Amino acid sequence: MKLRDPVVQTVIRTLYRSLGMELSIRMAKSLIEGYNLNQRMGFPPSVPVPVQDAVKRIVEDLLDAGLMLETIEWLILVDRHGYMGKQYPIVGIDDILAGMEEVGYTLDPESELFYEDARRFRTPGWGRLREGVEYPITLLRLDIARNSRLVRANASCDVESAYEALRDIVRRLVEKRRGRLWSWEGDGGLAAFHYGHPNMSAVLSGVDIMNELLLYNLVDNPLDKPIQVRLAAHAGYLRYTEHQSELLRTELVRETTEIEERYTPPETFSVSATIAPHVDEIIKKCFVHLDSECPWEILSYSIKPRPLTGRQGRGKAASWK
Amino acid sequence: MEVILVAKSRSAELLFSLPRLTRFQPSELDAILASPPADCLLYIDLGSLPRRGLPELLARLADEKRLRWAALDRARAVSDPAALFHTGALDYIGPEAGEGFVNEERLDSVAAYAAKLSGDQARAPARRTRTASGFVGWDALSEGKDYEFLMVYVALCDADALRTRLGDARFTRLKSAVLSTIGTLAAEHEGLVWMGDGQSTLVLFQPDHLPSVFRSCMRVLAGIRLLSYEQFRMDQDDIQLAFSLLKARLPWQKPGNTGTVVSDAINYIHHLGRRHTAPGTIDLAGDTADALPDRLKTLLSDAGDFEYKPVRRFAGFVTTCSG
Repeated sequence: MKLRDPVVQTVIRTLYRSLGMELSIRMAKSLIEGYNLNQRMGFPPSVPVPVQDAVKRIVEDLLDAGLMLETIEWLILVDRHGYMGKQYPIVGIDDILAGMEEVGYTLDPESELFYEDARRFRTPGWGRLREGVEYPITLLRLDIARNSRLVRANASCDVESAYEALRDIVRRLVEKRRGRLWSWEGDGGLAAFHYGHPNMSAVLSGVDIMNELLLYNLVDNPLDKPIQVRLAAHAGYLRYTEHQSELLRTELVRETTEIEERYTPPETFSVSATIAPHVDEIIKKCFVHLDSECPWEILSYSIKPRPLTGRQGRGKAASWK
Repeated sequence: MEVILVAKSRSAELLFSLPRLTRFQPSELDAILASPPADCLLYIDLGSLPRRGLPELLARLADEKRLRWAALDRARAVSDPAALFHTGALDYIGPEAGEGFVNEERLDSVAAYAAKLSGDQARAPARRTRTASGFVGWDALSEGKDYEFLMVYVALCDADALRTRLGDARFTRLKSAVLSTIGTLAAEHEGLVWMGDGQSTLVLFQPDHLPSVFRSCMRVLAGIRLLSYEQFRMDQDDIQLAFSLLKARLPWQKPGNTGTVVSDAINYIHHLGRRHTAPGTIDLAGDTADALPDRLKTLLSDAGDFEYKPVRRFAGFVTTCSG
């Protein structure tokens, strides 16, 4: 965002009209530690700063510090819940929300934080993760098992088309639940979830990918064998960086890769114990505990067609769960 | 194509014999012209408008390139109807027109004229396209006449137990969510939700859509737990659906007007769905399965005969917890 953006100008007007000098400074201090307006403007402490100039300078400083999203979120919080027990109706809050939508941000109702509008932008950091800051992230790692065999035994155009289809499935199902595909390396990839209900979203996406891939294998797959994947979900804190190679070297990515590579059998989706408590019962019911040497407790999901048994009656399949 | 009529009185509606017609008051004409709906044909009853304002309106219509419009002139307000066509009208309904004069055939003629007039399809009303099986769209079917359809009967299994467990209010919401999912499935393959009783629904498709419809039914079964959680808002157990498919010739009636339809095929698929098809499975009766590609046929097993017809079954999926 830039100072001349209409939404930033609206924020300046709003601070002046709704918060006034004192509360505006308190807001700035809550976002920038030790913020001193007089010092920044070159006024001695005993000289009062004109309010209009003061709020303009505060917004400029917050903008320079890359804290515009946080500033607007602070205003929304105050408008909705008050500040220190007192209500402050914020004039122009609807205009600010409309302005944010115009520049490509939507407010997540659960967290009351702004994220990029997925209909317009899909960046790895959801338009708000900042370089060097640690965030809670849930990762979903996928790898094609026995990839070399598939590549050797099939025409390269069929392999390309099948792997492309797999990537489309993963991207579609991950982005449907507000995740982002952070990397794709031909035979596998890494997706991330951060806001809303990231653990639940990762688990639902994983189950959906397994189901959809089975359907693809049964109906559309041009290869001589089904594509089998190992899929793993794991959560933790990750220091965000826009450099993909650094991102892939972080501890959380390493742990997730370890769960996928060492402890997940082919055609299986593993969920680590860090996530399990956040998964709703109806979904958890379709997972089983996987006995393994894994340092994390693992829940596992897989799906296959019910075996053909020749003649079937109604009673037999009625117990299907 | 949506047909909109702008007329003061309801009597103007009698000139139309169309499945869908929306009437607006003349006072709403300004709003319609300011933002004309996409793919619509606007019939304006000139007798409902002040005569003094007509030249101005015609000039405005002539400038409006996005709009397809036609004139209704029961009171002969226009002395030179041909002049209307010079300003872009696509049809003219004079005082001699009787009840039901504007019907589907008339709209086809209007569409053909619009295409010819513009030289491209951009301004022409949507034409019906005939598919490989000869299907020309639901609106073009004649009531009472027999057509071949793919019938898909979708049953919400153990509905009574669900009602008891969830209570009436939640069960009603569940039924509505299931129906919405079935509606999405129908829309994906140009199908039509034809009849239903809340616990079962009969959807019609063009017969040549069988492979893709079958695949979508498989997708619903594979993802039933996700659907139960994300769409149907179930918090403990998933629900079960069962699909029964039959290709058959049936007498056509519009949805909502099917009470008088008498058909063995409809009776059969209701019986099959209620008495034979197991929860979480897809049954294909008679020779319906023969039309599937070989790859899909290998997924089916014999499910015995039902009312003297052989039934092939896709037995559904097993997950880690149910295997």
